Amino acid sequence: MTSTTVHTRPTRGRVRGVLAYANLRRRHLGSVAFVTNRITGLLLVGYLYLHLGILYLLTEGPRSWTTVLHLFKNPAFLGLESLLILFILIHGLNGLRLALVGTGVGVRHQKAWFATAMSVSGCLYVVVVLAMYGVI
Amino acid sequence: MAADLNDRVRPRAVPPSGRGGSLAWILQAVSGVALIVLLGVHIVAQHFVVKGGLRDYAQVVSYLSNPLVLAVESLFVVVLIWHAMLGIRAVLFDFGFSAKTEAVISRCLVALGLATAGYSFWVIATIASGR
Repeated sequence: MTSTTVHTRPTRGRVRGVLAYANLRRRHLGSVAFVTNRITGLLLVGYLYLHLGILYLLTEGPRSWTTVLHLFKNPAFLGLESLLILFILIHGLNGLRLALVGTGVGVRHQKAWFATAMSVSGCLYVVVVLAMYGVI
Repeated sequence: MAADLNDRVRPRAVPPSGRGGSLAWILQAVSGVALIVLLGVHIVAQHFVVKGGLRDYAQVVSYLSNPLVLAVESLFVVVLIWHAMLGIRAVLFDFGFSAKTEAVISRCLVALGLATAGYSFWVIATIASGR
């Protein structure tokens, strides 16, 4: 959720604020969840533009797409793709938790919501990875 | 510093108010919930129901030539870009810019979102036409 209380932070303070995103010491669970959502969200935006760039190859016809399909089927690339699924699961379920807590639903149990969201993400991630590598 | 960040990012029981923050938060939440459905459909239809996990060129063209699929994928693109731009805006606003700078950031993100949507629709239309 966006903080709108400070609007004229000096530049040095703003840079410290950016660096503080990476500092996990003495952090409340709620703010860890918040920063997790921010970071996974930014990673997913980066992937969105990468994905749109790769889809350009589809506009060039079957040959260029076939070439890139070979790359996608590489096990190392599948590993990176599985990380994408993990980020989507964490961002989606944690975001759903943030939306519920933000609208006043289950505010007192937000730590349990977070633990549940992360546990479900982990379980679904294992299932997806097993499916991606053809184990199930 | 950690305490300072905790104060700034501690989740609240209600959406932030003022300067469109509340509306942006609601739109972010609504588009996020919609994305759970649309992204689920996209991933399952594009990857999990296809043998080998990826459609070849002919399969992609065939899939996108279905008007219903085209409509759902187009809606997915719009909601995704909307959610992404609101997300970038929220992250940037976390760092306390002036109201004037925030207005410039919002306008730039609207332009970036429109450009991204335009490019995405061009890609979808080109693929669907099978050229």
